[in-house]
Amino acid sequence: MLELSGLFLGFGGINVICDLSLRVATGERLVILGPNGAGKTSLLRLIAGEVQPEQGNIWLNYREITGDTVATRARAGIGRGFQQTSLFTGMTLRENLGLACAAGGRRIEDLAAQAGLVDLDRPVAEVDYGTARRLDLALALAGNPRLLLLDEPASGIGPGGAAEIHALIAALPRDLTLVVIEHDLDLAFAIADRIAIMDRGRITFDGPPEAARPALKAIYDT
Amino acid sequence: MFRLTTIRAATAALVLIALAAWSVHGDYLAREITAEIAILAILVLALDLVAGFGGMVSLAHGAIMGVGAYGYALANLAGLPPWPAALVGIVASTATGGVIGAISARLTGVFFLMVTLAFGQMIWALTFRADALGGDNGLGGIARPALPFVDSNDPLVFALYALLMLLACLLLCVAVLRSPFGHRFQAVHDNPARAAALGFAPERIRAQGFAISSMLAGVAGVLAAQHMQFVSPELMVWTASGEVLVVLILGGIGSVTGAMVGAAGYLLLKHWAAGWTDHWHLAVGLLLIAVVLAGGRGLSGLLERRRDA
Repeated sequence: MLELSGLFLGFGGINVICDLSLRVATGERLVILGPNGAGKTSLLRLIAGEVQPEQGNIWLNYREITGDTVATRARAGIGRGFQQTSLFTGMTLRENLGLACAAGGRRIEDLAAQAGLVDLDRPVAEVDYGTARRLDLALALAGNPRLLLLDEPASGIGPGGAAEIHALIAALPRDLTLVVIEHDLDLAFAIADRIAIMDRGRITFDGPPEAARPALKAIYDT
Repeated sequence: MFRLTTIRAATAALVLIALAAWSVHGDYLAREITAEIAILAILVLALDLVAGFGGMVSLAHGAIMGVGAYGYALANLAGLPPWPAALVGIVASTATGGVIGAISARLTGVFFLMVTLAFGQMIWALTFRADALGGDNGLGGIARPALPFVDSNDPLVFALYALLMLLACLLLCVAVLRSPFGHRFQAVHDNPARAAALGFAPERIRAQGFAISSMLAGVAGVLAAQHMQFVSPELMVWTASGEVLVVLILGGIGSVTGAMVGAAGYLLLKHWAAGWTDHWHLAVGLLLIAVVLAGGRGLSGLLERRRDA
């Protein structure tokens, strides 16, 4: 499904991604954990095409997409949720969904129902952060992606809102491949088929969730 | 996202009706000023489409309008009747804007402004130096279009014809902004990262928007050539583009109706103040400062805010 090979990325002389290789199978749910500054978001940005690697290659479904633009990758089936909600703030919820559905061919009502969005004619600028989070997730799902990249999808919202987002993610179709960055270990273990731990731009652990606990204990206890 | 509110529709209708009534009941000067307002409003509308809704503040729109005017003039002088010649002018402007947009759409802010300024100056310099285009002297003897049952050389007829063209451009602009393309165009301005993540190609959409705006500028150019029956490089000088930007800010950027309100307010103030003093720019400058200090939403924005209060 997704294959990364020998990726390098640096900013201002500092390597944020170092010789990173990774494979994610179709339908697999990979959760990436690690301390702040480990390079998790940079990795997602590389996969989405927002930054280009200095070295290395990226393949999606056996097709190399390393040089493709964000839009081309989106059309190839990569959906993207952002760490901080990325919405069309000058529009209503319905207009946001309408734009996304026009690109992805889904019905606004179906997408709103899936994301638990109601009162669609409210301006985005006036909705609470939990609703904005669900809208961000809905936009990522609108294009019927085959690979969904989520960067801390429940960050910044209270426990109740986070639980709703977790339930939404858990209910996603099993054939949808997920790569999720998450700090909430409960969510990570609830959804992960596999966990990768990053530190200083490298993957230091890659394996089944239960096997990740000792490595995580070392990170989060220090 | 653009919304055709009642106050906007009413403002546009009121300005059009007031100008039409002024033309019918006014003298020769009123009719000439009305035509001038309609032409300027179309050009400002073109700039509003890209600057107000696409975030692309252009200093090439005077030159693009000039391409339309010269396109019309050359085609007409070569023997083409006015309506096909108008099509030539509009296509020339659209193509010019398409090229400028394709090259500069990846830029934003001051870099976009500077590149469009450079394109505008290149077009002006080429025209100024080209003997085939009349050089500094320009081209004269341009025909006005034949209209059914009326004589377009009659100032009243031409003023009303220009107002009709303004109405058509206004409706076209609204239709574009409310179309799926218009939504994508505004989305790319609102949040380019999310737009790209949805699969929209921001640069291509911005370039297409610039070409549509250039088409409207081309209509203004054709009308300007028909109005003056003369074209010169002065149409394309960069200060003409700057003037259009000033009028847009005066009227209200990103509102569509601001183009009409701004053009009418600017030209009426200019002609009124010019009757009193040669320093009419001072009056325009003071009004511009007042409008910007009042919130930057322009004269049409002040009307909307008064209604909202």
